[in-house]
Amino acid sequence: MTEVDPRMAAEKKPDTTPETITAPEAPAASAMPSGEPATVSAAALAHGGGAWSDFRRRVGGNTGAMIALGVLTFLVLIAAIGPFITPADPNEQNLRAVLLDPFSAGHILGTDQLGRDILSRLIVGTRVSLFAITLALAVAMVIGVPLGFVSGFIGGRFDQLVMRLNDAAMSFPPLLLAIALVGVLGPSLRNAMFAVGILMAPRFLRLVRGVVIGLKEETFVEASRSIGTPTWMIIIRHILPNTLSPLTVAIAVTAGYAMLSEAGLSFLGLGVQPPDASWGSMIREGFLYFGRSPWLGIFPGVLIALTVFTFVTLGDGLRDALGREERTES
Amino acid sequence: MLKFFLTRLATTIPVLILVTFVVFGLVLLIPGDPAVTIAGPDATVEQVAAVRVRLGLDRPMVVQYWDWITSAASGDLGTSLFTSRPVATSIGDGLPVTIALAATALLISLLIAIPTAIVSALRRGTWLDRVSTIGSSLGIALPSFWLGLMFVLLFSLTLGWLPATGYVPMSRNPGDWLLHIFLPALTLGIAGAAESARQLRGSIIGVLQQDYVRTARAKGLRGRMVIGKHVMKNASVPLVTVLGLQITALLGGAVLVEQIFGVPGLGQVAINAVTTRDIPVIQGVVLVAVVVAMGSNLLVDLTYGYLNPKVRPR
Amino acid sequence: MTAAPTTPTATDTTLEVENLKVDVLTEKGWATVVDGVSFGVARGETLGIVGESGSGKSVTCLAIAGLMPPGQTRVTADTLRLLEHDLTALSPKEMADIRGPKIAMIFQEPMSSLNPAFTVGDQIAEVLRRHEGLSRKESRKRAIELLDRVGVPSPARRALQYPFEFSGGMRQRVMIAIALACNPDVIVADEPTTALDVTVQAQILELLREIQEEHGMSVIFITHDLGVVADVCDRVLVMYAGQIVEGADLAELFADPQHPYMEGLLAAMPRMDNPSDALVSIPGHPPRVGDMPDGCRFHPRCGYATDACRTDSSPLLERVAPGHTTRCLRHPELTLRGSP
Repeated sequence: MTEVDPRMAAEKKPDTTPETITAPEAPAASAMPSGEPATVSAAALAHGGGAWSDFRRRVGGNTGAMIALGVLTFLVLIAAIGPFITPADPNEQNLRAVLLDPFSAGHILGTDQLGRDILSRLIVGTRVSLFAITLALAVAMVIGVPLGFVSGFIGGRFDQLVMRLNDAAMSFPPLLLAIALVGVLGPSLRNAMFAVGILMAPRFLRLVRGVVIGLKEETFVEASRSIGTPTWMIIIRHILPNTLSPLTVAIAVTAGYAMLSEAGLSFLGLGVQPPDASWGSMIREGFLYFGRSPWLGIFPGVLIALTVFTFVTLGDGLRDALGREERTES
Repeated sequence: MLKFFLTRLATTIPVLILVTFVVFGLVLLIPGDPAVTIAGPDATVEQVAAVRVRLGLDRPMVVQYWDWITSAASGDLGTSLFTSRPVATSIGDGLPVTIALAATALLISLLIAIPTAIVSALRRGTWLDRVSTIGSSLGIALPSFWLGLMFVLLFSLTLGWLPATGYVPMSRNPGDWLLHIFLPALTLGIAGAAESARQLRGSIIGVLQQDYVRTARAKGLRGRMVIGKHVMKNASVPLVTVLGLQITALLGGAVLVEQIFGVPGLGQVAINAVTTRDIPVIQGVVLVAVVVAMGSNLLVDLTYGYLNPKVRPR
Repeated sequence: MTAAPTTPTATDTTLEVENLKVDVLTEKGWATVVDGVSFGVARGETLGIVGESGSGKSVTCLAIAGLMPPGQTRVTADTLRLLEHDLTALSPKEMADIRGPKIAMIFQEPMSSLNPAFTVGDQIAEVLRRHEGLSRKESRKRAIELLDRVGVPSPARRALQYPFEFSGGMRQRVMIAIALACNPDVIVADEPTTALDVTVQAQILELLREIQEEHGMSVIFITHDLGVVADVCDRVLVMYAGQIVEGADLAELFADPQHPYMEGLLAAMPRMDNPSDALVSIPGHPPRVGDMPDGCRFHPRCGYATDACRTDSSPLLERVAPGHTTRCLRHPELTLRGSP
């Protein structure tokens, strides 16, 4: 490829798509533009105060996302009022009625090995499970978002260092690192979700950094800078609103993973400690009596699967509605 | 090609060094005095002091790190605080099992994902596509350990087709090995299959719209050739990135699945160490797992060089 | 180019199309994008099809070659004959057997029309393996010969390279080599030079001309560039909004256009002989698919339009002279300006 081919030299031309550049195709082109000029994609950059209403309008039109939001709202409601609507005391033991099958009298989903009402435990577990997700997400975002933001905004050495750290964090098998962290810190839901949050932080870091770097080059940011808008103003007016959409998608997707991680850790006995129960730790208890009453493990698993499915659907719906393709972030 | 590989290797090394810092630093996260924690609640002051000296905790951090990393590099990961077995021996027992499990799971996940994605992409918008799209969302949503339990319930306890637990090394009896590894690998592979199928469906749909696919059809190539050759080679590029992440995730997910099926892999070693706070073992397992993950990612990157000639310096 | 008869007779017609109609599925339902197109191409003839984007010229040719995506398109025709084959009766499989040895395509975009993941040599050789049953070795040898034929220097080395290592013009030469590989009877060249700059464009046109003289195949040349048309075509069809609006021999069409749209196109063509002449253009936009105006589809942009043009049903394609047709109600009364 080093020798110069004269014919090739003569043919050098920019690698461009002609149809998009010389849009009009007809000879009478100059005054016959064929259709409209290429508009900015549907994922158009939201701007300033318009961002929020724009966001609501887009998401509101997406059936999948709306149904998923409905289900989540219901779960949050259950988590909030759970203790008041349980048919029985979730921790009350009754050793004369252990491992009852579903649809037994007074225990619609049966009882566990200590005779506790499974439905009541599931209802109370909702709060623990949702709290766990929230904690993990909060940790992940508190670490990932500002770091990604600063890293993308400053660039240079700092960015390189942060990205290497990020690569290092992403090289660990996530669950194994979480197990190790909990093993060292001691098993508790708080430690488990702290560990999961650290593992999730790179997703947010890379995402926010990518958006910020992309926006820095955008014309409207350049223009704003050129008329002397101070940096903090650019950040608040232009950059923050535009991280909203991709962050929302990432939160939905990450919440699903956080729930699965919590369940996994609790299943291993490294998360929620008895007598508290999350759905994950209920599967653990069910595992021990699996041969005799599989229902103990089946119900919480179904709830976890449905909740994660809801988060995945919400993420897909939001992605479609908000138009940003961030699938590589998985 | 070699140059591409070496460049990739060179960028991996600083990351690897950072990773060893993190693994070593686990010890610093122990609340309070690590020597007290490790020696246990009933230890006397003398015992704690002995532990401190034995673990070298009385020396400067840098020296401790240097000792640890140089021994680790020569294959000595220390000894377990509880069994007094060399950590490397325990890991040496568990690692091949976990690798066999993860590799089988990866294979199964691709065997599921590739046909699903192709059918889904080619029949885009039909009920078949919708079913497989919902199926792959569900595949992601199902907790693997729970799915494993369901498989045991169905295939072992109810149908009696496959053993519920246990493991037979491939070297002893390949048939038995397959019987024992199949359910764990399937359990572990399903989430990966779902993720890959989603990714691949998207990239096939993207590639199908490319001009060169039209060219391939204009040449009169048969549909099988157009899809199998022209579409798949290009659509696999993003999949490779996902596969790299998946290998890493599989090694972690194996911990749970091994627990369910009683597979004596690295995960069992890790869980035993965590329940006894056996710090050298925890560090060893994490270090080995992350090195295996990074190594497989390097191998995956080689495929990337094959699939995308542009990254291949000539 | 070789003198071709203006009205091809059945015997020397390689491709015959009668009343071709193509519908595509849009968000609002089925919409007709090619409406009743009929033409024939003689052996050794170069037929130009001229029109703006969306006029249906590319779709016409993709539909003939069976390359419109099934499911989202409907193609119907009274006659669709390529040599002895009735294309309307062929299965997709049989159609694939014909693409390559009987009809080959050259696409507009040499950047994206070659697969980035395979060597150039392999992309040529696979056509030969598919249709002529050549072995890997033989097909590779033939691929190098073909690269040499289309003027790619040091072909043996270049055959092992990937498309990204080629310039635009060289890629288009590769596309031509692929089309030429099985010696087709009809080559459809869809804007083959649009993406190239002027010098290269001339070289590629020259190459196409040489090849056609050598092999005597029919060429359908799709373009929007009347300059290119004047350079290479024997006969020209003008398409507007999915219909043919005028068809004639090259010289006659330029000298004596019978449709106001063609007059407008000619007037808008920049001329070398009179650069000071201000560019004239046709006002307005072509209609959108699925939103065709009543009456003559060109009337909203036509300076000669009358009430009849606006309200009557779409005018028919009428013969005004031997081998010259136009789709204009007012053609008997209008005297349109041609190109000098």
